[in-house]
Amino acid sequence: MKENQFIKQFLKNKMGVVGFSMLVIFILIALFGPMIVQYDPQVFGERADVLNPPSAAHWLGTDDLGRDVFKALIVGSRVSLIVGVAATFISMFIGTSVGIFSGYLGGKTDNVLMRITDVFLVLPWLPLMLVLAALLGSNIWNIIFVIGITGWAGTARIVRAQTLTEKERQYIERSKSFGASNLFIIWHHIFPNVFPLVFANTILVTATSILSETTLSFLGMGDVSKPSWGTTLHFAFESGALSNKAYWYFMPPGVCVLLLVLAFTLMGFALDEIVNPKLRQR
Amino acid sequence: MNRKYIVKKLFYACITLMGVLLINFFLFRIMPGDPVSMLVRNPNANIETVEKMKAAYGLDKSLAAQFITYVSSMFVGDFGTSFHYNMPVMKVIGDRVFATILLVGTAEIIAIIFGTFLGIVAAHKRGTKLDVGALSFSLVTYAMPSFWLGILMIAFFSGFLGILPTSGMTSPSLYFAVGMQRASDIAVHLVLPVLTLALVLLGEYMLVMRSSLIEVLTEDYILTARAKGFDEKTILKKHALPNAMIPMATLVAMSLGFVIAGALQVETVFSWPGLGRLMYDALQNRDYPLLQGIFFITSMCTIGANLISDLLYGYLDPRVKE
Amino acid sequence: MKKKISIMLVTILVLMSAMPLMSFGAAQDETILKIGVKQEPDSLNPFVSWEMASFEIFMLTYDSLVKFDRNYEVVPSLATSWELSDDQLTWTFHLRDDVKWHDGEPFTSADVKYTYEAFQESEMGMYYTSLGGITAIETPDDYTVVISTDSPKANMLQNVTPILPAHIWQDQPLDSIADFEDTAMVGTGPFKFVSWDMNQQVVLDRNPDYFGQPANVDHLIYVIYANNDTMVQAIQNGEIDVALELDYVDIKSALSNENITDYAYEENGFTELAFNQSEWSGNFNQLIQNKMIRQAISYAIDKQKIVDLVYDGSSMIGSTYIPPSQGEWHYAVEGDKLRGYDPEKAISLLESEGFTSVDADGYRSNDSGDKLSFLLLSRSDNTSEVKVGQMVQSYLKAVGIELNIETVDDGVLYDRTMGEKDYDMFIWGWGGDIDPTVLLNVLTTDNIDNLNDIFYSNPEYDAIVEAQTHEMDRAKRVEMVHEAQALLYEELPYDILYYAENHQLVRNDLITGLTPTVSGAVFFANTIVNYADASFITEAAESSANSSAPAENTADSTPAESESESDGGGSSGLVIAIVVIVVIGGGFFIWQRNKSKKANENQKNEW
Repeated sequence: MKENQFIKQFLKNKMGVVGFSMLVIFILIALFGPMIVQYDPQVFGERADVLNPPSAAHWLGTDDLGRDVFKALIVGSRVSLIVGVAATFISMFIGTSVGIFSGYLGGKTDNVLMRITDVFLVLPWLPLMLVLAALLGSNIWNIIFVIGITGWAGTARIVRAQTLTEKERQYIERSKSFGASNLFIIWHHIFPNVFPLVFANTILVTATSILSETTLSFLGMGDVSKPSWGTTLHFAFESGALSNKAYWYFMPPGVCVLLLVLAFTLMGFALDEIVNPKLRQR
Repeated sequence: MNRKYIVKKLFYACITLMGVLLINFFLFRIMPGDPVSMLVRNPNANIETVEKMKAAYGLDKSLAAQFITYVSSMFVGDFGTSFHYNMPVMKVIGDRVFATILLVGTAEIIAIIFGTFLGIVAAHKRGTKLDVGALSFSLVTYAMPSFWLGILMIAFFSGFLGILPTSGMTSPSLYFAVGMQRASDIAVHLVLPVLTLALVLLGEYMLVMRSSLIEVLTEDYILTARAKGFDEKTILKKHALPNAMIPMATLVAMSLGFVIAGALQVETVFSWPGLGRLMYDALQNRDYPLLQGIFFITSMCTIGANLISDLLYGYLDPRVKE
Repeated sequence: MKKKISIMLVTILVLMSAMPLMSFGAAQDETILKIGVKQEPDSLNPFVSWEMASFEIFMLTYDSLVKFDRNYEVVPSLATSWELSDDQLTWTFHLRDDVKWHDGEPFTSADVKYTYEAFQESEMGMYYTSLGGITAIETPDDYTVVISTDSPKANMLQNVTPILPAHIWQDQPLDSIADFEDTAMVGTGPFKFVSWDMNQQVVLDRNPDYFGQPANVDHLIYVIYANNDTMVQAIQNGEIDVALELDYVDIKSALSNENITDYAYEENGFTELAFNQSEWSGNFNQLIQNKMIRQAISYAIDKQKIVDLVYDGSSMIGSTYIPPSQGEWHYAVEGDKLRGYDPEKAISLLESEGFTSVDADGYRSNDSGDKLSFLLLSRSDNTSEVKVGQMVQSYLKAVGIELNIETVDDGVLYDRTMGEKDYDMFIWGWGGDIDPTVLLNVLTTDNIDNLNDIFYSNPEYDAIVEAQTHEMDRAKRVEMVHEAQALLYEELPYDILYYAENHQLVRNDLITGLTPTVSGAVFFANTIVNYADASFITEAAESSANSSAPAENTADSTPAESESESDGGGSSGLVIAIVVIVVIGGGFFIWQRNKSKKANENQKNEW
């Protein structure tokens, strides 16, 4: 599919456009927000500032240490996005490599790689992340690593299936007969052809990664020094925001996560319709 | 579907199981935080006590020796003794299985029914307001962190309306109740967690059902059927749906492991006494044998479900012939 | 479609007809005291367990020779009287002759002898060290126990080791006693053990044959909650009668509820900022072993603000080692010696130690380039402590000390403090019992590699702690305990941050008869008096209690109120239950139909 053709189709897809615009807004917030709002999680309020409802001074009220919830959300967007994207990068790298090599090389390599993939597919995913996070300790890099390393198996399967079809194409045979090396074929022929699929999948995996980060942080495995939306939710739930009816504290971070994940899901959904022609509107 | 296919799938399942066993064992051995150390924060414990505890749990032996003991006892169904509860792992897990099956089972059934239904309606009425509505609803529930949805449920139904219990499986005051009274008490406690879990699952089921049905509806044989003059309802019911259900069956089977993970969040928020919360507590308590047991059993379930779905797939879809 | 609806209707009708049955079943004559807790027993084997929750249950199901009353005075329990020999080395206890075990067997001195010897020989469990110094136990007759010690034992009467039934335990080999499960938990206490459903509840029944004052309530259930919020909500909804182990921030919303009484008390323990005192191994910043730097850190932290923000001002800021809740044992620092919040003083201390150069981030170092940069470990599962860590970090930054924080779980923290020792500070807490010895022992050289988690060693301190355990003159002993604390306050191995305040909530419209102990707590207070005194405000209790109890509480409660508690979830719950069952039932039906259809269709499908 030609690039501008792709963009045309994407622009025709309402869901895709909505998702993309939402994402752009979030990225702008994450990029420039922390420069505009002055927020230092190390500056605490006074006793009277604890869990105050929204006001002109604090648009979304204050948290359990008297800090501004709105500013925390702005600064937290960066962490949530970075973790989500970086973890997805690891996942996609492992998943795509395993999938392509497994599918292209076949035989024993395929068997071994696929059995490993199977193991990762059947191990309970969230508990595995929790165990690994507990094992490595909760700093932001470890969290990225843990989410990345546990989330690649699905991608590997999909990419492998696609590689198997690509491999059967005649021009691959031809390249081989010209003496092209396996790596050359993979890089120049297979990868470009599985790329649309990988790309669509990346979007959806990012959504999952962001949800994973939120969940890990909520369950107390997050990096406290770099508070994300999940960390905010963790402290809200653990410091009585619910019984104190501090809706301004536990609602907004959840809505943010929801919207960001939704943005990725909408785009992924739109891409799926474009990449998979059968789903296209007739 | 031939015998070779079945044998191969069985063989793969066994290999996966071995992989799980291996990871399961070594992952928990390299975890920091010696479980016995949890006992020592006690002002009255002493070093001899610690050594004795280690010996009692076999932690003084070498890693290899521990692995051999582990695998061999696994084969006779002995998962060891939970550090924290000082009871056989199988018993600890057995006490919790019912709660999780009740929660996950009910939620799955509701999610499958409504997810499938919504998916069919959306695909059938594609492009209409109904489709857009169903689609948006599913996408939103799909994008929602399940623990947060649970918190919202608690805040709304319990804090605001004050009508439903927020935690546990039974009311303490009805502890000695039996029969219908107990059943209705459990049912009341079940509502919020089931609703939360079902909503989270529903989104994905709906999306898969919808796209699968749309895909099938473009197949040649459906066009043929249309050409033959069958009415739309018959085509949908008799020709499209059976094939469109295949990916659903696979998805449900595949998601079994994920559901227990999802149940972990819901069970934690609602203090539901199931496997998910047991796993979370076991992690906090460094209860390796218990964690291993739960990992093993959930993996087994997923492997079993995958195997069934593979075989089912081979049976349902004549194209699978490997 | 028609078929589906008719089936649903039938289901609803069947359920409707069952409704009267259900509501009749709801009538309950027996009273259940429902206590919400956060902590679950770790084990119900006294040789294994060490948690407060287990300790409380042992007090209810077993008895000790002596016990504490509401004022923490020692009162008789299984022993009716006791004498101490003139050389202060031999104790003679005279036992009750009318005590029966829950299984009907008589209680004798052999049970005491067995229990003490079993704890001593197995060297296991939380009761073992309180038996230290005992050399021999003799039983001249069935109701006399003579205990000899090697030196005067100052805490003999503070020993509340539960007496176990020898006829059940004695056949267990001591080296596998940890695995023994007395599933019936046979004891002599006022409650009998019924069941423990993990993470849900522990159920006890009243022992009507108790030799002391039997309980008023028929059953006692500890309901285990994973989250403070849900527990507070539960007591507000009347699901439980009592809620324990709560912070002030948790209970704020419940305080406006006039049916709830709040019992606040100071925890018998402290939360400390601990400093690594182990031999320098190269993997931590040795500057932390400079006493002046530690004192500067102490001056830099605004403990009052920490307490204000994290505990909403409800806890007491920390100073010395033994908490004020231990009464005269606590040493109050006076005058100039008391370190208040004084960042300028902190800076001047640091500067006088040579840390004068300040880098771009504001962090100090000395001329040889040693930077004031430390690593703090805090426990991830304790939200309050995590918050405290963040605040400490910002206070230290203000005086030019860099603090990096890692949150880890208890297991990792233990490993790193006892094993790698690759940290500079951590935040954790200790809890003590009525006698100060247990807490003081933590920082002795003897306890290095055991309880002494910072590897602190000070011979002077060791000597004072050892001497006070043999001092039978209480005034002199208090003096010595103060001396030990003054030493720790100056040396500062631990900076005591605060003594947390704890809250217990009670539904005053449902429960009556409770009186707080001297500690301020009602339950989990080293005494079981309130379990015996607690009773429900019901019609029956009202009429029987009218003569004895003043009717201040009973007057404003109506029978309807107490009934509504068992009824509350009932009617609305029932409707919901029916809806759920119908949905599930209906769903099942549709699913089944779909499946069978699908199976039929599949055959025709292959064209």
